[in-house]
Amino acid sequence: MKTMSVLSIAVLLSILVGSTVYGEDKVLSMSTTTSTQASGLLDILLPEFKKDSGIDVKVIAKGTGAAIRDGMDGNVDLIFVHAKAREEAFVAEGYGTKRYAVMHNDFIIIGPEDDPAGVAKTADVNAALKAIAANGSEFISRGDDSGTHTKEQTLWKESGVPVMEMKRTIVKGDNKVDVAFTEPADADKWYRSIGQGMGKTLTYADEKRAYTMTDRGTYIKYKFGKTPALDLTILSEGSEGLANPYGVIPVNPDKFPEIKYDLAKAFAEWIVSERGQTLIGDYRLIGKQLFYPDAIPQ
Amino acid sequence: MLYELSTLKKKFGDRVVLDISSLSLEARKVYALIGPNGAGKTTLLNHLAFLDQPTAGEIRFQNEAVAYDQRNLVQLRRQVVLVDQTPILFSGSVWKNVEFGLRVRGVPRKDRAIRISTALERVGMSGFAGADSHGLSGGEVKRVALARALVLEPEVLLCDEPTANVDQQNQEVILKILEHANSMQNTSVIFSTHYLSQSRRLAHQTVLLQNGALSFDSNENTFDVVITQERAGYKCLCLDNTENQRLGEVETSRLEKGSARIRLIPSRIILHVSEDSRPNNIPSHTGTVRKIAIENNAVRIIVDVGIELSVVMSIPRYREQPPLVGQQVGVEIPDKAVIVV
Amino acid sequence: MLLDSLKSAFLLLVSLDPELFEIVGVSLNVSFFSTLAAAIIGLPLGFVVAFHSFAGKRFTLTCLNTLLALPTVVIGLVVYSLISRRGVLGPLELLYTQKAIIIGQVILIIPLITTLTIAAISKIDNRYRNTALTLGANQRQIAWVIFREARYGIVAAIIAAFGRVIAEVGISMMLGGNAKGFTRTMTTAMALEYDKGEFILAVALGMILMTCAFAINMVFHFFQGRIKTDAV
Repeated sequence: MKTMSVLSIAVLLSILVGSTVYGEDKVLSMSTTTSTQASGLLDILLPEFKKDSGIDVKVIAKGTGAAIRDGMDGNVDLIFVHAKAREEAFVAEGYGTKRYAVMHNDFIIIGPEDDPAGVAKTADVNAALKAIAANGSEFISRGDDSGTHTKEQTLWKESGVPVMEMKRTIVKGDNKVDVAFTEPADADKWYRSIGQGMGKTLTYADEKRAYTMTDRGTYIKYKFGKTPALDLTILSEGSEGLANPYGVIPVNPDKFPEIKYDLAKAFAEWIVSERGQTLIGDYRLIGKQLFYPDAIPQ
Repeated sequence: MLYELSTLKKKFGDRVVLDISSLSLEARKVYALIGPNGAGKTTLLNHLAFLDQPTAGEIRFQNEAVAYDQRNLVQLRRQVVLVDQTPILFSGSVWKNVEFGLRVRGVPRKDRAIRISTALERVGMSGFAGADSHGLSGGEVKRVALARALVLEPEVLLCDEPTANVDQQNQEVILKILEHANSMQNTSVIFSTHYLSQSRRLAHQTVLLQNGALSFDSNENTFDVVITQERAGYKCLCLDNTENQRLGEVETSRLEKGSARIRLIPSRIILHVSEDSRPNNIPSHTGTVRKIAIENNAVRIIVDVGIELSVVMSIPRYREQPPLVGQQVGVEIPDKAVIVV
Repeated sequence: MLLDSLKSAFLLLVSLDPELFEIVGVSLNVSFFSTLAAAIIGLPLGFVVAFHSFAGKRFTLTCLNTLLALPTVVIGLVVYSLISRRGVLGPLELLYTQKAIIIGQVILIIPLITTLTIAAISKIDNRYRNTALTLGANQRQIAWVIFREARYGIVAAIIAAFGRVIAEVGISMMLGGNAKGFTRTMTTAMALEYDKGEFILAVALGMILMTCAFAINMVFHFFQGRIKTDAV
């Protein structure tokens, strides 16, 4: 009995001591997407931010859906994601105070060098997707409800390829809610939704000699920063529809009073300031520019 | 000969558990194996059942040396069945258990049925054919195990303590089954037992094991006696039911009046060879020397005092005053020579 | 949230959600075949190790016990490196197929089935073996006797193995790739819904997984009961 109580006190103490490391006032919790973290940009930005403000940022990287979810549950003080429509909904529903447009990068369509669908010859992304669908060439979709996946679904809808909407009804509180996603109508023949992160999707497409859509940052890393290098090449880029805007949103302190709104606001304002924007514009990954500042155009 | 064992040794690690210089067992007889716990009875039975391989030495079965390769062993084992001291039944019905040996021998189904019913009837378990084998009592398990063995009509039936842990009634049944197997089916029966009475009743011959080695006939010097109080201080040992066959008078407080089974330890009986060495104050018998044999650094002398007594003397003692076959000698049975069995 | 999940799980089931049934189907199919294959290899292996004494038996047992703790990611990595397009078995095009998951899972549960089989057989009284021997059984017939007596333990081993693979996520994810309609299993689907932040759906799937596991155990127990009744 005595040992038990000693043990449980020890356990409690260790939890308390362990949590005080993050319990300091000047720590900001930020949820972001895995692709943002993987780009390496945060490794440049956050130390500079700490220098300027004295604030530490604890980064929780998840898929876009989960990252937004963390904000909706009040688990974090700030979200830094790239799914504009959903971000706006996040603010509209009162979970966030304001969306700060930070920067954009772009998406590209990649595929095997021999390009069986002839994507390289197409004019824009709509034609590219049509060519893939018409040829029935294997296309790997992240299918994980991430920002990239959200983007991809929009592109299919806009491309003119017949799509279908899949729905699943679940219960939230007293309401029935549909969880929906879109995929090409004859998906089961050539379209593979794998529900994984960007890196995994790239290796998957590489293994299968298939087409996929990716953000440029992850592609550069896998193409130029990795051995063996990715054996896929860029086949369609530059269309307007392929732009990928990023935003930061502080979580609404009215909803969650324990949120460190001051710190979140400080970060949001710092990142759209000239200092933050310059750092973003100067960032290079393996010699290539990845992000283009949106707050102060250069 | 059914079995011939020569210079057979079995070791478990460094411990010698069986060391038999020579043993022959005849077919169609009943042998009883007797000896204290740990004497090697079970090990010997396992060897006779070809379940165990000797460390050294040879076993001949039906005049052929046993070769310990799988194929040959399966053939040999199909002529010999061992029933364990605490037999184990396979899960399933009693019927399936009795059927097992027939099945592995490939006996056709219709022949099996008749043989199984007969065997179950023989052990008085006909009513249990469909019963779950794991729901039987100890005595019933033994009887089913016997049926499972007898249904195979083996050349040899080996039984380890067939009546141990079994109530009186089942003991009787089991002994009758063994007797019947031998007399009616010509099965050779070899069983181990603690009960001398069983060995005497059932066995044509008795084999005594001690510390893994053969002793002489273990019935030697074992008698059912009536103890009567006679002269002051002395008790009289009379052979069972024959008041006048007086075995001796001993002074021992360990003996109560009444019936008992006693054993006289051969090495503790004293022979007085010359007339004058015989003490007058101690009661003794006179007997005739029938047989003298030298064994294991000692001399065994069979003396007829109305019944045959086996006496063992050390070789130096024998050299001092060697008795001769046919000679009249004095026989003294001191207290310490008497054990109640 | 649990209540929501429960309602959602129910809703998914009654609406006969085709995707859900596909996922459950893939899970059952893959788990069934990997358990079957592992049993075909693991049971005889367990018999051989349990029955024979040979040099290095203790070492073999230690190895098997160590393999029990083999993390799924390690198996996933090793198999991945073999069957990836750049691997030795690359031309077979196994990666991201159900076959790939089965290969990984078989490696995962062979040690489990083998050690549990050895344990089940070792528990069987040696007298069964000797009794079968003296009644004239040959090696094959003895193995059958022991198998019959150890059947509860062996069935338990198979259930444990099935439970391990149906609940396993690492190998399914790494080697199957979670491709919808092809290699998406209940566990990878749950991991995905978690990643998407759809916790209600994830937990709903978890509940269905548990129901499936429960149903399968019931079926096994039913069969065990049958075996017992048959024997009488």
